[in-house]
Amino acid sequence: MTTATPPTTRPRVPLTVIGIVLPAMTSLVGILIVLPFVPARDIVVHWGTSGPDGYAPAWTFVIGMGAMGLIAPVAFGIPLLATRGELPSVLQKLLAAVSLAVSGLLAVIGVWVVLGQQQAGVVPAVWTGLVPALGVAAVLGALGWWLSPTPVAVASHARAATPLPLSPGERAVWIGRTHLATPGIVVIALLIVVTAVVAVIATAVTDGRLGALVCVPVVLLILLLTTSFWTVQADDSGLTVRSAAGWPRFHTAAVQIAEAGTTDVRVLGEFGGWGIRFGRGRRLGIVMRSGEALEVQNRDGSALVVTVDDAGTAARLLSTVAARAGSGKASPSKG
Amino acid sequence: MLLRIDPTSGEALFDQLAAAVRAEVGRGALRPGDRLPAARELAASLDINVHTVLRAYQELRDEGLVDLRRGRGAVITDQAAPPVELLAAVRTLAAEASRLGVAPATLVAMIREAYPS
Repeated sequence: MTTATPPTTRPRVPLTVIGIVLPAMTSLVGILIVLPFVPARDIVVHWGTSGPDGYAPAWTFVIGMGAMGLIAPVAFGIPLLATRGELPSVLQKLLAAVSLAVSGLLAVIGVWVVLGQQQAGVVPAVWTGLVPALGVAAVLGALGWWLSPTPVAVASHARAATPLPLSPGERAVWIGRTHLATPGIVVIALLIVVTAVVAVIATAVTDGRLGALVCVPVVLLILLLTTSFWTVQADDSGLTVRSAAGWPRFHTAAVQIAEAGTTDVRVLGEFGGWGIRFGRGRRLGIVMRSGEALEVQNRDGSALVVTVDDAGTAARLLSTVAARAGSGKASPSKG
Repeated sequence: MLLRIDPTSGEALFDQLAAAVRAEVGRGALRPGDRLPAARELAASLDINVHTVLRAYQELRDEGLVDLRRGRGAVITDQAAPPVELLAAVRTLAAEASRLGVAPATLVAMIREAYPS
């Protein structure tokens, strides 16, 4: 009997544990270590190029450690959680290992800042903190990489679709819609609201000197509208993928279609993220989620990939349309 | 959603288009709340007159399958979710008709005949 898991001699820890749980625990351990040693006075919390230049009460620094400790598990954890059903890829391994390394780096620096300043007026040299922090980060990063599952090579083979039988005079159109997963849209929408509020407040407080901040929510809104909602249309003219804003728009003409098929997309493994993405082998991806996708090979060697439900039907119609266009059979004129 | 029409079949184009929408609802490719394409765009991609599309949409509205609202276009209504047990019964019926060599059109006519009005 054969099993799906390859023979292994070392532990395989889930990526979410390495990239989220362990980093959060590392941050927590750092805080627990310094808690008994927090002095009731101001300490140096920031170093500039010419030495210490920032002071704050020690207890606020510990709160800061908690906030900083959440950065890596959250920033690296969101893409890991969103793709946890996929076969592991190199990028996911890297995200998890870097998350653990960054948490280790920040935790050691935090511990060094507090423990190094137990005596009032004595501030240790920066390198005495930075060197061990980088060392711990390297060790944790390597450990995270070593513990994480072996990446599975990307073997994306689009399955060519059997043409949809259409009688000679018959016309058909397939229309599908696809958008970024709802949690992603919610996160971006929240970012837009928060940055808009911050921009308005900052503009008011600074008498307009920071007015340019208003650009941030506007740019985010434009990005949301141009990259997160798509209409996919297959008809006699070929394949057209168009954003909710009408632009950008990608088109593969029927005569240019070498093959239409379906594929299973792994967001991080194949395209490195969501949105309009370039994958290996001149594949342009409109990647809104993992899973079922339409893949159209262009005669020029490039490919257009769109993650959309019912992609099989679209691929079948495009196969027919491509065959018709290739044989030079024009559809009958308007009746 | 896949919408297909055959101008050479003799059946009115708007009837074919309405039937195509019904078929997609039956297949589950169109669900309540889904939007049908704008009439002008659909007419362009199928190379038919925009009034033909509008007439099909009106036919579907009269059946209660779509909602036509200015600005929102044609939206599939909740009625598009047929009861599960009915779907199963229809599949059995269609399979039986096919086994007995009854043509789809004949089966539809038989159902229409049997329907209590």
